[in-house]
Amino acid sequence: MSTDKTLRAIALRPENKRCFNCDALGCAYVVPSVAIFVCTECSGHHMNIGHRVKSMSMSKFSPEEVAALDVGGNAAAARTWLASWKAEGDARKPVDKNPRKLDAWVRTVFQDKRYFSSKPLPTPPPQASSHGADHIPVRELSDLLGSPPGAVKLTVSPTPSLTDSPGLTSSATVATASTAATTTSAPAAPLQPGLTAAGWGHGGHPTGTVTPAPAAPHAAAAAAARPGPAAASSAPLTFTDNAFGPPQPSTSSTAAAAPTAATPSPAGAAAPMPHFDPFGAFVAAPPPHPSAPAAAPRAQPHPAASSSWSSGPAAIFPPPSAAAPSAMQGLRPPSTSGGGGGGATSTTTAPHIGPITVQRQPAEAPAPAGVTAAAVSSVGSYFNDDADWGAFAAASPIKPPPPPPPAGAALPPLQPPPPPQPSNQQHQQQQHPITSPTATAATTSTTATTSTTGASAAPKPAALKPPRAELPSDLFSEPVVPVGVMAG
Amino acid sequence: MGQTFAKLFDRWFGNREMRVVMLGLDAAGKTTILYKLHIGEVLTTVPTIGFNVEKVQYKNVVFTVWDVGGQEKLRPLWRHYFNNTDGLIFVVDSQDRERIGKAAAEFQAILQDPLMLHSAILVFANKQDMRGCLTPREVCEALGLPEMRTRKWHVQSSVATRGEGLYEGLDWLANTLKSSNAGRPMA
Repeated sequence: MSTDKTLRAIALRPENKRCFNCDALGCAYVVPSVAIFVCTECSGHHMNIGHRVKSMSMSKFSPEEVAALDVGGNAAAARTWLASWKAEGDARKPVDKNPRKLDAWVRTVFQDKRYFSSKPLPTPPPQASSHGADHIPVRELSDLLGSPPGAVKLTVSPTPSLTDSPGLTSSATVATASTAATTTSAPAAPLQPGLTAAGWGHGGHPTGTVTPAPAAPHAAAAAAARPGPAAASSAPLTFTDNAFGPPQPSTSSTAAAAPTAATPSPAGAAAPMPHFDPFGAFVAAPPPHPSAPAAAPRAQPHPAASSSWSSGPAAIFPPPSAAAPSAMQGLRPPSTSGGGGGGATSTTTAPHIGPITVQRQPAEAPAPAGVTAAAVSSVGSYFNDDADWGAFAAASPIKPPPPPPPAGAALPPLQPPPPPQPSNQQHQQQQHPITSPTATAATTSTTATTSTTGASAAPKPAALKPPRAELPSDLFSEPVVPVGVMAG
Repeated sequence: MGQTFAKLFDRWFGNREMRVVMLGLDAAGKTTILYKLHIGEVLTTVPTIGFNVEKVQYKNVVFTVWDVGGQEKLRPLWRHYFNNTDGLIFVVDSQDRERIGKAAAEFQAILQDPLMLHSAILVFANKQDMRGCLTPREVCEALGLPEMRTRKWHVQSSVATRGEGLYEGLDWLANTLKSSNAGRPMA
């Protein structure tokens, strides 16, 4: 079985059909670092916190990645990343796909690791006895990877079993006993949506009956009891497939908790979902450990962030062999930079304006004096200023504001760092990078030195109008590539 | 006579149009750059399937920036966007040291394309705010740019989420366009 097919089979497992974060049906993306399947929206939020995201159809997966997803997946990830998470009392899942809530959720779970546990909750033992309709053959993967058959354990864990709630057990038994309880894909039982809705806080009714017991691990007991009550007892974390279930995804938690779970009450079905915002409280009153510090390092202005290398107008010349990058501007004192353009600094090894111009902003400390005339003559020392960068890179994430520039520096003063940003960066009003008063000195001076003459004062693009007008038709005269055909 | 002056005037002061295609590996920040330039905001983007295209005006140049998805199976489609392109913006995730080699391979493949022989090359060494990222020089060398004698290229460090370096890169593109007389006057 090819890697693609194996991946697709893994993605079709019931616990992977729904987004790890928001329970949306249809996961098109994979977060390989944590081995979960997420929806399109959530993939963007994972990218925001630095996760790499791969599209299942448009990326290529290595056998190792597929193997990791095979033993991982949403259910396994829930056991570690949501180990201490409870459907009641903790942050609600952002099932409504509100971007702010999605962002807060992803940051809380994966960046702050609030519910993380290094030793995951016990995995329910695999049940290889009977295969339901949704059984996905995964043994082929072990053959694919060359391991002896049977070495890859079937870790399809339909029930993450975070909580063990007796209150749920009774009702859920009614729900699940009849149909899919005997299959390995028990959570796909069509009667689960109500329970899931309760677990994820869909309805938001204050139902004391659903309060789960504090994560009593049931290792052996669950094995014996499953696929009966045990399978259902952890219903709050099951991954169900509403597409194949009864069309009542918004069944309220009361209906789920009641013994008559199979027949949700009309009142429950009419739970005013839009008016109740369970996650809102979480967003409005953030948890005691804010996620803002976590985002702070990225918000720090980098003094050396803007530097540029350019071919320059002399790129067409046969450049000098070793010291081709010769022109250093910006930082250098006028005495060493020859006063004029970079070409004036030409030494014996760099007769032309080099194909590379380097401008680097002062790091926290003033530019070391070593990076001067000697630096021009050899590549090794020429790049000494990278040491500044390395020093910065090794600095602590919470960087103190940069000290004032050295006296007498001919550079515009560095601006104070921007105020700490809230965790929802994308919702913050971003100012124009150039017209912004907080534009760092690096931005402006680099602009001035981009051209090798250094004379272009880089007019500010103040007149940047968002060209909202429709594009001329000739823009679209190109054959638009049918991307869909590549999906296979 | 008057027409000649008008032409000259247009050439110096009129808006010019430049078609730019923005490529790079997935998650390099292409879409973020595009919308940071276009609306000045950092959007929560999702992996691009297909392309985004926006017009960005900088100085008197209207850049039509095509941002094409960079995932593996989308890369063979890049060449369909090469035709009639004045500039290439290649975005590199400076933090992704593992894939810089792959980025370089893709980059070289782009440059070998006959349709891209005359385009200016702007490389954004993006995500410079991340710790432990490649310096612009390292990016430059990893991409094999110093050996590139006959092309006009420029490596610009950038932080797309803060907008740093983006307009500097456009500035270089605009100046290059001016000096090479590429681009077309706006209709």
